[in-house]
Amino acid sequence: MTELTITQATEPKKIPSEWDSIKNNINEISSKSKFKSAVGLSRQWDARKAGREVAATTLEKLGKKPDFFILFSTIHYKDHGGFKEFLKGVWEILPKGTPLMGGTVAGFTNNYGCFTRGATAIAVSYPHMDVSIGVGRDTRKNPKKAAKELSRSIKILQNKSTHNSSFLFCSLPGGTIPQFFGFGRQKVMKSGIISKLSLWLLDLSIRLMQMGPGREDEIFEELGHQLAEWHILGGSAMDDLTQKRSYQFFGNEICSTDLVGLGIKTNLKCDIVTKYGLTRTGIKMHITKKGLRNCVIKEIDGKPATKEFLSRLGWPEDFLDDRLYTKTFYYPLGYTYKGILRPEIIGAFLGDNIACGYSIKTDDIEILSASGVSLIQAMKECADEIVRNKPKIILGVACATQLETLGSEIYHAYDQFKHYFQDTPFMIVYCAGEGSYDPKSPPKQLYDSINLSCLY
Amino acid sequence: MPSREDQIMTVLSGDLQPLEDIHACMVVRKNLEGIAPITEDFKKEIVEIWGILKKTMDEFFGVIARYSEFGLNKVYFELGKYDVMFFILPATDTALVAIIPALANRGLLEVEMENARRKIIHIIESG
Repeated sequence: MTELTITQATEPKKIPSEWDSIKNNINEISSKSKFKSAVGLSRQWDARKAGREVAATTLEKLGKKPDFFILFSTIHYKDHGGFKEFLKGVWEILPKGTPLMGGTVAGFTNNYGCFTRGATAIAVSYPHMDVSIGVGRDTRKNPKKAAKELSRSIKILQNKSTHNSSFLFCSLPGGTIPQFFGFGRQKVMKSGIISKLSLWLLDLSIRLMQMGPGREDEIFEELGHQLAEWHILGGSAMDDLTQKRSYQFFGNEICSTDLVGLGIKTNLKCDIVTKYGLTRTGIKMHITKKGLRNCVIKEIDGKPATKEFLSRLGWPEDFLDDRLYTKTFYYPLGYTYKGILRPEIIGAFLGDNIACGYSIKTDDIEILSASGVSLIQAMKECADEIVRNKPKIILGVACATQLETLGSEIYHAYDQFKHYFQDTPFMIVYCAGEGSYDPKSPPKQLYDSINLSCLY
Repeated sequence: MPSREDQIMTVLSGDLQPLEDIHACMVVRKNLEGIAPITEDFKKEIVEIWGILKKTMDEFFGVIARYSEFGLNKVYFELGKYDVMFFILPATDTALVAIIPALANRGLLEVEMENARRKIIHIIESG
């Protein structure tokens, strides 16, 4: 093939179009053949050992110096040595200066199985790629500013890279349930003084402690505006669904309130596919009063929101206990905005108020429904669609409520992923919210969705 | 080479028992015969109701023994502030059992229960 290149190159004018196409094909084949990626895993309990092992297993498989390293772990290392030790372990193995980003998640699926404890990483080595990591600080205080800060770091690539295809992968703080002074951390509060005060306290906690809704929708709106030509996929960092805290990894820094991202400019193409395992129930509700930046539903059709929600589902009021929260994973709310269905997971029942994860942009919402079968079917369809690109690497972000809903049945989805992806390195992380944007689709913050991205 | 029992014990005490929401775990059949970390290793919350939990669990092993060969895969029950999960070893009268708080995120724990069950099946089959 190399000889053919040299001989034909002396006569480009004779058959220019044919030659160009041959040259492009050869370049494409030779450049793509140099693409290497690998996925690593650690199931160690000790933070330092886990960091070392996840880096070692990834790099051993990669066999080359990585151009970037994406790292996710469950929250467990917080109490088994801490995340400083975890990152120390990683950097004992990872070559100095490797761009690293990631965060904590509820669990992950990769080539080796499904896990809700442990650490995973994916690394890539490829000569036709420019990479940059960036950070945007204090997302809850000023999400727009944080998105601008990250975009600024990532845009540096645009000036120095000759490649056309642009992909940003990011991790950002997910919604947390603040601890109300003396009243603990509750997702279901029945009527009482504290539930009446809760909205005011929630607003206060966002400003003072950076706890509460993650404001991710505002971040993705701005990222889409700043990086209009890019494909963007992100997941909200979280813990084990108790929603007390989350962490983001940026180089050797551990953040808890910041947006971190990895920007890639490459000659490969990229794609993002989004699917929901949700069906419309036809139960529609008109919101007559909202609060807290439109994140809270106060009244539905002029009646207290919580009671009306229960009544519309035909659920008795004594359902209003701590188990109600997980029951609603099967009945998220949803509305259509800019042509996209936007599911909302109910974050908490605060007396008469229903707190949602991000701002509701319309006054008309519908109750959606999810089942194990529909969630697995959506994952299968998503896998089927993304492999049509013949991907070299697959990065996915799915909702942690899907993992909690499916439980051990997540292995049915894993079997589908293995069937479709075969040996292609893949990593799907289960997050507190999923955000995406591409030039053909508006910025969106979602729940209860699966999003697969790929380079191909 | 450690015995199969030791290997299964390592899965229980190394993979499952350290999880915050696993109060107790074991691989047992009727009369709770089988492999379990010593009761002192169980979280202290369940010690006071261990008697009634043990009795209720035992009732379920009758069902497991009868229907396991037809593909019975998992059984759950809720008892007061606790949930008990039985992950049955295929076509046997034996199950991997875990006692967890009623409000724990059961789905996340199930994923690790399934990983443990797969490891245990592998240990048994390769023995």
